[in-house]
Amino acid sequence: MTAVAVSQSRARRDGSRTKITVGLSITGLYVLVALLAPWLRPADPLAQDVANALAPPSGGHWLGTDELGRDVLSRILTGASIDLPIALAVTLLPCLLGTALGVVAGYFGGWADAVVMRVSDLLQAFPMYILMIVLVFGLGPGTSSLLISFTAVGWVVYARLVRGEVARVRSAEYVAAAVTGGLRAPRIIALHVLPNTLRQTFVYLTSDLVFAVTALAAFSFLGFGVQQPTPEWGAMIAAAQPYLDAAPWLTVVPGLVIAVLAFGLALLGDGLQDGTGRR
Amino acid sequence: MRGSRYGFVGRRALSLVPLLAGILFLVMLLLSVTPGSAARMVAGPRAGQDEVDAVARQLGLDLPVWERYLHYVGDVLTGDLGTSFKTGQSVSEQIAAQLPVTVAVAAAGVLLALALAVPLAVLAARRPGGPVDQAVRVFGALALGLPGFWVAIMLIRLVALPTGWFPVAGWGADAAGHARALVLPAVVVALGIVPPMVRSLRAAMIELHDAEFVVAARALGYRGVDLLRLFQARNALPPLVTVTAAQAGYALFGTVVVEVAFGLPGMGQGLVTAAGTRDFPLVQGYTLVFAVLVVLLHLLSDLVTAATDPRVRISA
Repeated sequence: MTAVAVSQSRARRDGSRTKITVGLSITGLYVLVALLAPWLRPADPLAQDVANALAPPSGGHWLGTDELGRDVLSRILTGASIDLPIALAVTLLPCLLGTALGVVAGYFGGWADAVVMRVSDLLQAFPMYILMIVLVFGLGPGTSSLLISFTAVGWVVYARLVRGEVARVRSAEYVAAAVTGGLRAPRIIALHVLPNTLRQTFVYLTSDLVFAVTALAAFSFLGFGVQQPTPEWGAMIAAAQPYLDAAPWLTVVPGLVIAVLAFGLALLGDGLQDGTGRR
Repeated sequence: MRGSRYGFVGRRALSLVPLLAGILFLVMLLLSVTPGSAARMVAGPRAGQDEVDAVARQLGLDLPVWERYLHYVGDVLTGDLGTSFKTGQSVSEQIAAQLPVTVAVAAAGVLLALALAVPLAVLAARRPGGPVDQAVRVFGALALGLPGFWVAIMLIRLVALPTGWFPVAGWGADAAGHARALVLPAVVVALGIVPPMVRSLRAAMIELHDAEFVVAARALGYRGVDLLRLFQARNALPPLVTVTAAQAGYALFGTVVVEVAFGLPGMGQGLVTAAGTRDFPLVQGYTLVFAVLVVLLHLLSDLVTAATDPRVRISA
């Protein structure tokens, strides 16, 4: 390896380490806020004080109050304990379902493979979001609809990823050795096949979280997501629209809060991508 | 016919028939996935059972699934997408009026994204892991994290309102008005698809960097722009087309949020309104048209790839 190449690969390693550190710090901060929200927030996020509505940021209300006089800082902090778990759930459920279907398709092949792949072809023909909107529409707005529609649409990518990897590993010698060694399929899959897919799945999971965080807010904005008066960040932005001129902080702050979290997750995903050696 | 251009087009188009049939089936099933009955929802909560049954018959819900499917396929093939529950207007007419707006927003967004992503990817791929590459990727993470609808609101508040260059809402009356109304929405759509585009293109460029024919060309003395133009650009075209098609499908979604935020009279806004008022035939119509657009997009991308890369025609 030439000196230039060495310094380049070192620069890349340092770069990805910085990205992972910054990404993890941002994400960790949000997780901490989500866990400690009940103790961190200065006021009840649902307590109304109409006489004091749309107050600008001040010593009493660091981020001002909303159209019903609720403390914005308390609502933002509480929002972390609402947005984070939902984002995690709408990312993990499709991942689990997709992994399971991908294993079945890749390991057993045959008609199971054919069914899983044809259904995923069909789902991929729709723009993902359109399908989600339509599903949430069919099921009615709310958190459980979000969970179902994200899962019904999002499993496809994981299934394809895991299926490909499982099909590749399946013919590997160490799996053949496990078969001759008398191990049964579930054990072989759990011990020898799945671990090889974990890393890639995890990288994709991180980038999917970025999508989930912004998509959740978008759904609330469109009126299909978490409903008022829950202090969900996207719903807060949607509710603030009539007061954009009188109280811009009601729109600006939740948006920045979402953007910083998504940025942290995206950095983390980018850093992890470097680590896998895939370019 | 094997290997001929027309044969390839024909085979590729034929392979879409089962996919389209499946799409039609899914869209038709929409009426059945709703908890409670669709007929009850249309008739209203206070309607008697006779009324609900009458609506069910009118919607064809009393027929077996396969018969409903055949009817639906027949209707769609003759261009009849039903009538809106709320307005009584023909669904196909309403969608036909909104389609150009959505296509214009998505196309403007994709073009702007291409104009940004191609140079960024070329720059980043020059020295993978170098400072420019890292900067491009941090920018990508930043752009990826910005919620589109929020950026739209901010652009309206910080750019459209103070400068008066762009309409705050609406589609404009003439071509010039349309063009001005497209600028900010295109920025928002592009922002969401530039990062994944840069990522894929960058990977494709790096792969080309190490390809044997590029190494050979470099050994022959080709450098810089000449190398890029004569050897790399041509071979970067197929991945560019594929990536663009995939992201254009995503841009179609972007238009939903953007149309709502900018008050543009397109299919995205129509879909949200129809979903909000539980107007089943309209929602079905939008879903179908969006899906067909995506299918056509992928077909187009395959055809462009085939036209520029002879290997695809031969192996297909």
